[in-house]
Amino acid sequence: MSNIIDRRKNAKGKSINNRQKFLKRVEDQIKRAIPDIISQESIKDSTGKGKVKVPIQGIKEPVFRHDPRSGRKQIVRPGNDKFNEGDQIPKPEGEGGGGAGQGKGSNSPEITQDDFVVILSRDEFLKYFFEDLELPNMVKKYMESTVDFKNQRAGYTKNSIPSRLNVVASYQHSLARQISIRGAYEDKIKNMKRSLEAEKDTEAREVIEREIARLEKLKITVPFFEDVDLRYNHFERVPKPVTSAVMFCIMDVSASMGYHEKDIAKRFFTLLYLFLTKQYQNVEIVFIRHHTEAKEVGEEEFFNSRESGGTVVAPSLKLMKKIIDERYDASHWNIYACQASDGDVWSNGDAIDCGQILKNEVLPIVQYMAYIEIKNRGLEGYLWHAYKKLRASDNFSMRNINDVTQIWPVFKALFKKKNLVES
Amino acid sequence: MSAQFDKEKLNAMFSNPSWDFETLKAADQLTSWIGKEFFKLDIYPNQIEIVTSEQMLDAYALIGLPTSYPHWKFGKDFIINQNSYRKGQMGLSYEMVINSNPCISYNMENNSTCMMVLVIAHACQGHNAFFKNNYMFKDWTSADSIIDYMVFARDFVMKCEDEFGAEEVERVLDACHALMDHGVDKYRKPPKISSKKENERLKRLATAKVENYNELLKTLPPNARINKKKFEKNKKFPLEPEENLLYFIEKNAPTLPNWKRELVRIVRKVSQYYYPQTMTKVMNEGFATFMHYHIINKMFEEGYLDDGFMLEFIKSHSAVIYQPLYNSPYFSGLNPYTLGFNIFMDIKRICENPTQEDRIWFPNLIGQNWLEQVHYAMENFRDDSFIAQYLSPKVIRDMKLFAIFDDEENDYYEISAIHNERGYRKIREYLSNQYDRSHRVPDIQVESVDLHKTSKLTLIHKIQNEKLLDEDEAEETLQHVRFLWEFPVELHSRNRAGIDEDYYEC
Repeated sequence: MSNIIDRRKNAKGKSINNRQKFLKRVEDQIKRAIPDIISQESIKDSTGKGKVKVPIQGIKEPVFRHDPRSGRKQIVRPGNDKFNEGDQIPKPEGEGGGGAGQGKGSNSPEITQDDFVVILSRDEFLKYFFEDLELPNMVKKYMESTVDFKNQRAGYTKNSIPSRLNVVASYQHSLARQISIRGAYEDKIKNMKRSLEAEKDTEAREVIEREIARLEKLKITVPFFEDVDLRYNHFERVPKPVTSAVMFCIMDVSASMGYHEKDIAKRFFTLLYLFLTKQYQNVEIVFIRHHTEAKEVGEEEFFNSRESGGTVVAPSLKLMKKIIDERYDASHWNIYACQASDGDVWSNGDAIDCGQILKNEVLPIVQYMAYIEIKNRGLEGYLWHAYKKLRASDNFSMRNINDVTQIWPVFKALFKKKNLVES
Repeated sequence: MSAQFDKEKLNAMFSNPSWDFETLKAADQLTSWIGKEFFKLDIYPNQIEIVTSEQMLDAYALIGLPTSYPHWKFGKDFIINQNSYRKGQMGLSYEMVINSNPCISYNMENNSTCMMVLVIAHACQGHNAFFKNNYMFKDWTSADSIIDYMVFARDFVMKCEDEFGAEEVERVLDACHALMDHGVDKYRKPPKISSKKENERLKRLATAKVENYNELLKTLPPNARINKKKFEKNKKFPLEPEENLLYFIEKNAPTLPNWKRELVRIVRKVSQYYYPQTMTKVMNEGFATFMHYHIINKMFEEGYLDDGFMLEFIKSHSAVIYQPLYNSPYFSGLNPYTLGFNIFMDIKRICENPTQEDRIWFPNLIGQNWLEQVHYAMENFRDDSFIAQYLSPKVIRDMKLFAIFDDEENDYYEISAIHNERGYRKIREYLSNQYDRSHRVPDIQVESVDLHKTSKLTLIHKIQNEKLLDEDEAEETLQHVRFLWEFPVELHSRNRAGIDEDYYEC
């Protein structure tokens, strides 16, 4: 009568659909929380396998209900230890002390309307994160960088080398052939037999009988495999997109860059890094810091150590070019660069140098370069002025940021889907 | 009779802490036999499902139903439960059981053998019998067709999503959910539902529409004829106030498209299905606990269980009926398991060993067969009437119940009754009121519809014990009513003297 069922093997995720519906409802909140979450993580951490906790406010589900503070209520409680009828207890200050006395069993998890945390997988998170963004020039690179090929299955072919023989497909053809040929013989035999019955002449009968015997023999000797049956796995050479990217972070660490400016720069780099890891399997970062001279450093040092001095920018671009030439062949790597500076340079000459290097040496080989200037003053620096001429090239963008809250909008603006902007 | 069970084999099976499906089958057969033979339990066939913790969370989100229509609310509940479960704030229950035929119960895979036997006795005998025999469940729900109906509801909602867009469907369901508490027929027993009948009804509606199609009808203003007729006949509409808001909207919203009416109907039916559950929490848990306690003790007496099993059982059982006291940090209201179990145990005690006090309080129980009396109580009451009828002075004393009077006018609480001679009846009354539906759900009824011109819907909230509505939520909920009704809506909070204390409009 009873039925005992092991449900454990059933497909998981019965609630996935409803969970998605809920996430859709709080999508705006998730998107708003993103910049905060980013700023709390270190660059490399941010691509970890772990999950992302997004604090959100639950959606209200209003109902007609009593205001717990109002009215006259009798509340029954267990475990009287000291009270007698008529005792008066002063109400606690402020709230009514949570007087609601509904029975609650261990069976009913009481749910509060408080804020709670949605745990997203890293992929879900990044999906929200980069929803409207697209890597600049990515398509172009895919087309251009066909230096590597891989073989990909593409159906069957009739001619190939024995090692690629596909037994299953061949056997299917063989079966079909055997069945159809045997069928043809059987039809003939059937006809023969019919005419045998009709035939009276012994000699003619003998001829027919001999023919039937011949066909019977042919029928059982249909060969198992013929050349026409054989099928071989077919492979096609398809261009393999370059899946590695290198990201250059160039930052001015001269005395004029304070904690605030560095913080903004760091967050911006983090975003870029996340963005790239979403698109490429393998992303490397090169940190170049500069004041009067440029130097390649580790992440820790890049963000934390302080050095004073004036600002010369051109050497850092030269260093970047050198590193590219040495280690990151442009045909194998997608190169991205991001430069952050407060815009101060010592001389106009340096700025003009930078503009030249960028135009002639850097921009032709990089996928994309972004320059952000972090400053509060309204004046255009030399560097800004020099870079401005390059704004026309489609793999260079520049923006001005002076507040943490602007990072995300600026980032979005820099990497906005091209076609969206145009339309 | 008991010869059909091999005592030694079962004893060995049950004392092994890890179970297999043989064990479950034996436990089910044995408890069924004991339940029927010794405790006269009449049950639906059982469908026992073994689930993982994640599947249990799924079951939580859908309140036990194997399927339901898609809605974000269930996703939200799932996420909240999952979070608190992962953080260890919330343990999952060992079982979950729903009122259906066959009676589906979910058992957690990581229960020990003892827990499994306990859970099978508790859910598959206790709750199951309660679902089948309590008058609330018998009259208000149809266990035979609920699963069927939910399949219909899911398909219908998904069809609407395809046809009218998921957002619009969601909007309607949101509005209906806000009124779920007001979608119950408290007095009129609803007709039984089934998906087959619902589908037939929909088909009939559709064909009637096709057959009666007449191009000329399009030229009439919508619903003009119907409303006029109603108006001419009755000055006032509705004649009697209607407390089932969802029902009223489904039947009378002037221009609501049919598919939205159908969604309102679905939520109303689901609300109706859960209504008995909310009204019998104490009794239902109390009876199931009472039953597992007796069945397992009987198994022990008959020699199917060993001492080790019993020790574990007693530990679990006392955890189930643990009642933190009012001043304990773990206190979160009265534990329905404890209260229900204590009352049922006391009914048994009064029948068997009455004291002088019991003779005065419960003359009808004295000398009666306790099992019959327990069955009678289980079948014919719901929480408020059950407490009003059976809460005995002894239980009040044992649990040291006391009542606090909280008046918003005063800056103090007053102890209005304690467990003494003067307090018993008061506590019984107060506690009974506490489980009355009106304690939780405000009394809101449809008063009238302005059929003259505005189609304005007037709702009246009857203020009880000077409890007003939460203003913010009332505003928001009223917007949902407005959305469904599609015309202006007003809500008066009216006191006994007939004077408005609050007024909302939307």
